[in-house]
Amino acid sequence: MARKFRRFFHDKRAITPVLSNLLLMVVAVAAMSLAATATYVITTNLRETMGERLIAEDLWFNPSGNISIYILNVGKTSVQVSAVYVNHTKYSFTPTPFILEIGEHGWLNITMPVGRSSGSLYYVDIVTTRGTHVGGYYKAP
Amino acid sequence: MLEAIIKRLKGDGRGISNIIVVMLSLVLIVVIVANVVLWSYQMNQLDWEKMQEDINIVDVISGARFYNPSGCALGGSTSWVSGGISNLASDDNVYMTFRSYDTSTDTFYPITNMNFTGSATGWTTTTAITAGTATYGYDGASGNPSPGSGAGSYYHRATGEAPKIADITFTTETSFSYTCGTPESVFLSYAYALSGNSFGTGSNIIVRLVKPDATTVDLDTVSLPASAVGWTYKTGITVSTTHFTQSGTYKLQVVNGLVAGAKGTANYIQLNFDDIGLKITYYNEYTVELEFTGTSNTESWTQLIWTIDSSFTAEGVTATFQLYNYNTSSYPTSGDGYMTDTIGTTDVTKTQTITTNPTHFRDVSGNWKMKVKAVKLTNMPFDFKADWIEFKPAVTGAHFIFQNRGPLTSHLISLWVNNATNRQRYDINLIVNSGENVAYVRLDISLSMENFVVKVVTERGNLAVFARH
Repeated sequence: MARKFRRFFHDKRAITPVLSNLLLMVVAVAAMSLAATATYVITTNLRETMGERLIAEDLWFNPSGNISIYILNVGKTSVQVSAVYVNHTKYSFTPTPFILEIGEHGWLNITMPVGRSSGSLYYVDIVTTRGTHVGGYYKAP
Repeated sequence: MLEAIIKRLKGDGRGISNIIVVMLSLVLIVVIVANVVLWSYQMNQLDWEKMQEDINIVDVISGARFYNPSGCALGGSTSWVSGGISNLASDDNVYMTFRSYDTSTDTFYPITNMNFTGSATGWTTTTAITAGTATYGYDGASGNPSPGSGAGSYYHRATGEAPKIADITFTTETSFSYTCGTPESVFLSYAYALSGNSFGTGSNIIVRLVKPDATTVDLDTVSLPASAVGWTYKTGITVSTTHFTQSGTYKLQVVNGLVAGAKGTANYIQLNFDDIGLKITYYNEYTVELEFTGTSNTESWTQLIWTIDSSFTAEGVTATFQLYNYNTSSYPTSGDGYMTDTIGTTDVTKTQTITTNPTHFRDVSGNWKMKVKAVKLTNMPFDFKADWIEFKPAVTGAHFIFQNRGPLTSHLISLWVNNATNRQRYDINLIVNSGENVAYVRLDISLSMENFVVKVVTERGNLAVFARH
């Protein structure tokens, strides 16, 4: 028995395979973790992009000259409006950031630097951070 | 063989590693793809449901809604004259007109002195003498015996001349006024007797009517024999009512030709007539009867205002307006649902507000009916001119009727009431099953404005719009 222990401690050849196996395990686990994280991120992004739905409940050419749009999030993820275009021209809006959680709704006010003309047709396009567009033509009263 | 393969695998460590890597990679890919596919399926399901959803706003009722008649039934012999049911939609002096019909009669004896009781007042005679001497006038001694009026009559006597036989035509007449329109019936009666001592041939009696326009019509003719005739009472001689279409002064004439049988101043022939009269039965009451019908809604009314604006072509017509009470299954004779007035040729607007059980005045489908009866004691028909009839139930708050025309149940989450100056969003929570019509009442919403747009939004993101301008 004592001879076996003495032989084990004097045999240097076994260290290298163990270390190499351990190293390989660490590398494999790291790689798999990376792959799993990437998978999670990829699928989450895809899911959120695919699950984004919002509608304009109402659009109001309010007396102040601005346009107000009431947005309802009917999708499966929260949305954030990144840009608003009126007749393909980008305008600022309030509140910023405009974020709607699932089922939430609220006014999005578009600040129009120049007054609108009555009876004209306006194409209003709302773009989210994930690239979803909600738009339509509206005639000013 | 198997042992050789196992031995080789055991000896070749690289093969197992490759397989594990490939398997794990496949697992990751499967996870990604499965996520994408499943999520895509879910979102497609959501989009498909959204496309299938079909919600509609059937009606929006707020405050008072007004309804005009959609039908009209003529009562009795009332006749339609002009205009249409659409003319009843507004108070614009454009009428739907109906003609009244006769509903009561009275009897009129226009000849005031037809029995010659005491005198011949009112009667005058002219003569056309071919030969002889004419005498005429009141005869107090002779008259139509019972059942006639007895002693007292009018006579014509033609007395011969020495060289000639008497031949005289007497025209005795009396006048009367008639302004009662075409009568229901007219009968003539009179009695006559021929006496004397000389009777020729060719004597006759013609009872003649002279109309206001001077045209004449013979009502009865009798050829007298060449012999004496005792009192003969002719009654119930039918006279055409068309002879009395004119209003004015008529004359009743007894045209009597008397021809004696022999010359000489002692020879005469005499006709007495008595109890000569006309019995005119004329219409003295005309009536218009109508029943207007219409539709409305079946909401919970808080009050009902019903209005009728109308006039007549005659003054002083007693008009009764009744709204059918479906609870009692009758037209009310007083109180709610009953209005009456005397209306003339100027439009009169009659209106009544019912606040107690206003829903009693409609059926389960919202139908209603209104009865109009107008009566006037008159000889002439009149017209009823209906200008505007309105049935206006009112509700508290606003009533929305949603219809789900899609195959899926819809969840309504918001309601918009917009007008030119205001946008108002209301949170609602209403489930409408497939194929259902649902009435949604909001007491806090008052749609007092005439022009508005109502929108409803579903949980899936669909909108339905109802506009009233």
